[in-house]
Amino acid sequence: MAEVLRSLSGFGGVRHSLCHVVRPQRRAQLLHLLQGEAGPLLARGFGRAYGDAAQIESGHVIDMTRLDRLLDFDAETGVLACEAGMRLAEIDRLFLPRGFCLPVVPGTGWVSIGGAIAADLHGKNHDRVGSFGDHVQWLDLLTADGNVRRLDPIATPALFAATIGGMGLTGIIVQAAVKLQADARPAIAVRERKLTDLDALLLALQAHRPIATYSVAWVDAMARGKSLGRSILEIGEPAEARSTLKAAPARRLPLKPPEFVPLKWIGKGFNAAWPARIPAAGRDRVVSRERFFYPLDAVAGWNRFYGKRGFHQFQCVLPDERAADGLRRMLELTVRSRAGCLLAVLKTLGSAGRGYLSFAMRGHTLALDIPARADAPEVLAALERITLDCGGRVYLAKDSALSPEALAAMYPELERQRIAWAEIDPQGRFQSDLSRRLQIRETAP
Amino acid sequence: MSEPSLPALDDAWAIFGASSGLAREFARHAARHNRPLILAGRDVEDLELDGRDLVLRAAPAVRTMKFDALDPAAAAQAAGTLDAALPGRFNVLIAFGVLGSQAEIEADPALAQEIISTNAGAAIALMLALAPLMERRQGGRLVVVGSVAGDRVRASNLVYGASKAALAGACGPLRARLARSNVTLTLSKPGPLDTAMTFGLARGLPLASAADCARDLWQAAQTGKPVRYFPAIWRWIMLVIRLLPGPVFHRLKF
Ligand SMILES: Cc1cc2nc3c(=O)[nH]c(=O)nc-3n(C[C@H](O)[C@H](O)[C@H](O)COP(=O)(O)OP(=O)(O)OC[C@H]3O[C@@H](n4cnc5c(N)ncnc54)[C@H](O)[C@@H]3O)c2cc1C
Ligand SMILES: NC(=O)c1ccc[n+]([C@@H]2O[C@H](COP(=O)([O-])OP(=O)(O)OC[C@H]3O[C@@H](n4cnc5c(N)ncnc54)[C@H](OP(=O)(O)O)[C@@H]3O)[C@@H](O)[C@H]2O)c1
Repeated sequence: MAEVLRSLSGFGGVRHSLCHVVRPQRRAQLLHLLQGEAGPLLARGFGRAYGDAAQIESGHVIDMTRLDRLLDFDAETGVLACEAGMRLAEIDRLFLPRGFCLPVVPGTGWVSIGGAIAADLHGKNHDRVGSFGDHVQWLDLLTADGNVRRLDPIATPALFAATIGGMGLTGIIVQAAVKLQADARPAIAVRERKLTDLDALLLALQAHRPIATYSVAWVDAMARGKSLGRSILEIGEPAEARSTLKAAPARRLPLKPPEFVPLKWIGKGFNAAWPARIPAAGRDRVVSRERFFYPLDAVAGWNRFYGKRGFHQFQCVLPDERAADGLRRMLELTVRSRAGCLLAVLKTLGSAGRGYLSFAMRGHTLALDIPARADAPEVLAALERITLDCGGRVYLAKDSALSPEALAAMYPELERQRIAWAEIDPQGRFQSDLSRRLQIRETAP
Repeated sequence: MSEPSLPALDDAWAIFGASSGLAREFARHAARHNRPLILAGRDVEDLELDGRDLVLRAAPAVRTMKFDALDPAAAAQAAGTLDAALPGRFNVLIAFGVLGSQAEIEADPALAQEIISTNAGAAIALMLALAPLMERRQGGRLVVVGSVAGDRVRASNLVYGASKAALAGACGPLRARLARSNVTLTLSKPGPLDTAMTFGLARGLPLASAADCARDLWQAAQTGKPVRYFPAIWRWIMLVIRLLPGPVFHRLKF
């Protein structure tokens, strides 16, 4: 199997690493990999993690995207087994006509089953259905010893918990079974509301939390003073499609913004123009699932909008009790620091995930793009401090800046994860730039 | 997957080199159009996984069979199996191929044999073995995957290009012969595709998606197009390249 030396980065494009990449197309090619070279290795899906989770400098990266076969589907139980390279949007495309859909989907359709499990994704309905890993029945993991083990929550609870949300560091997920949701509808009825400030937004989110199926708020991260937290809240309910729905072809961003135009100006235009589309009384419409869940996928290459240096994404979850305070401080900080954040996304999460390193906990989760300018590390460090202070945590699938100390403080089950690693990968074959940066395998000092 | 009694296999597609990136996408199209499939290749265990995938994508039945192009008995055996399994009309995609590295071949010229044997020898033998079956059934589609590289052979790709040129050469007369029995022959000539074959080659050349190529080829096969370039622009590129005088062409570095 051909091997290429490639410079890989996450979706944010901040840090690049030279990796030896292979892309198996048959199962046997994958299984033989562990018998080959020594040295660190890691699985990679579509590279939609924003930071450095899916790359390993000078190590071997296994591109899983060509191992993407459906294996079994039980229409009685809704359980689908497929290979780890299967793309989430493809599953919905194939199963919606049969009345099934994935219970949890992220903000892009370009995510593999392996990546979804490794990051233990959350969607816009976390309060309702939990994280992606909650729907995984079993998974087959290729481990450092070259064996494939079937993991499930009953027979192998520790290894299962170490792999769900384990960021690819326990081994390579070969295939997995996920329980699809029955009675799926092809469209979403969306209600959009404008909210004038953070308090109004939090109240509205709270009010919808027990009743809405999907909810997400787009926060104008440049609004300051009385408008701090100004946003649009989207509430979605499954709906029948209107016959006029058509998937729009992906548009490319026509031009990269010239590097000399301050991002702030672009952002001003962008953020000021955008809410004007929605009347004061709000707006109701029916959109396709793709349009609702994957709005950014319609603009191919939007991540290059921030230019060559790329951008960080910061995402944290704050426990409910501290959310109002913490979110206000975070938004104030980003406005004040002129860090160039345009847009923030706010959602609520329902309960903890099944993995030792699962991101979810009951609370509010905020995601911000931060252009990789000279002051970005400072802003990220300040955001980390606020997160810690509020008893929250940072999402590893987005992270490119967390410190090892903060990781240990945010993830109380890290020690159990380390015990599982000692059993399943004692030599530490599975590594990533993220695991090295966070010294994730080392025992706390 | 290897159930002894299959539902009606009329209009089935038999795919040789079924693990190829292009063939896998082609089979998914056939499945979407509810066609039964026979997957032939070297790694039968893996083809069983493709079979499960294709059944879940709406293929009414999938069967796998061992096929190694370099086995001299392979063509005759394949013909025997298809003849027995497919009483009605059927269609064939021949997709197997190897690229080889011109540098390695120059260091060990004997390697040329294997590439020519696979891409030209085995493919032509298989076409000749299957032709009478298809003729007897008075219909069906034969699709063969050549390459733009066979249109004008370059020094940097001499052996592969020569093998695809030989394959294209055989297609002309065979197409004329099969046409008399209502069988169409479509020669596919893709430009560089993003498959295992090109993975790891010098970056810079744009790679078309195998899924797009397969969709296009599926359509071309349905209408019995004799030759299909993909992306379509290659038809014009190769027209120009074929017209270049030899001394000019051979001075080009690519
Ligand atoms: C626009 C956008 C919106 C997003 N929205 C959300 C959201 O709403 N909610 C959310 O939770 N996340 C969201 N994400 C993050 C994204 O879902 C995760 O980063 C996901 O892990 C990416 O999957 P991938 O297949 O691209 O994996 P990669 O990014 O390639 O890899 C991510 C991690 O998964 C591991 N991995 C991948 N495949 C395997 C495998 N087969 N076996 C073992 N480990 C594997 C890698 O080692 C790496 O640690 C979003 C990302 C983008 C770009
Ligand atoms: N990729 C391109 O840029 C490109 C461009 C033009 C034309 N093509 C042609 O397209 C066709 C499909 O190739 P691809 O791009 O899809 O590449 P691929 O994924 O590498 O497929 C090559 C296939 O050939 C099979 N094969 C090789 N030797 C064989 C043998 N002795 N017996 C049986 N099968 C054998 C391989 O089987 P195993 O899995 O068992 O190895 C594999 O399925 C080939 O004919 C190729 O020449 C490709």
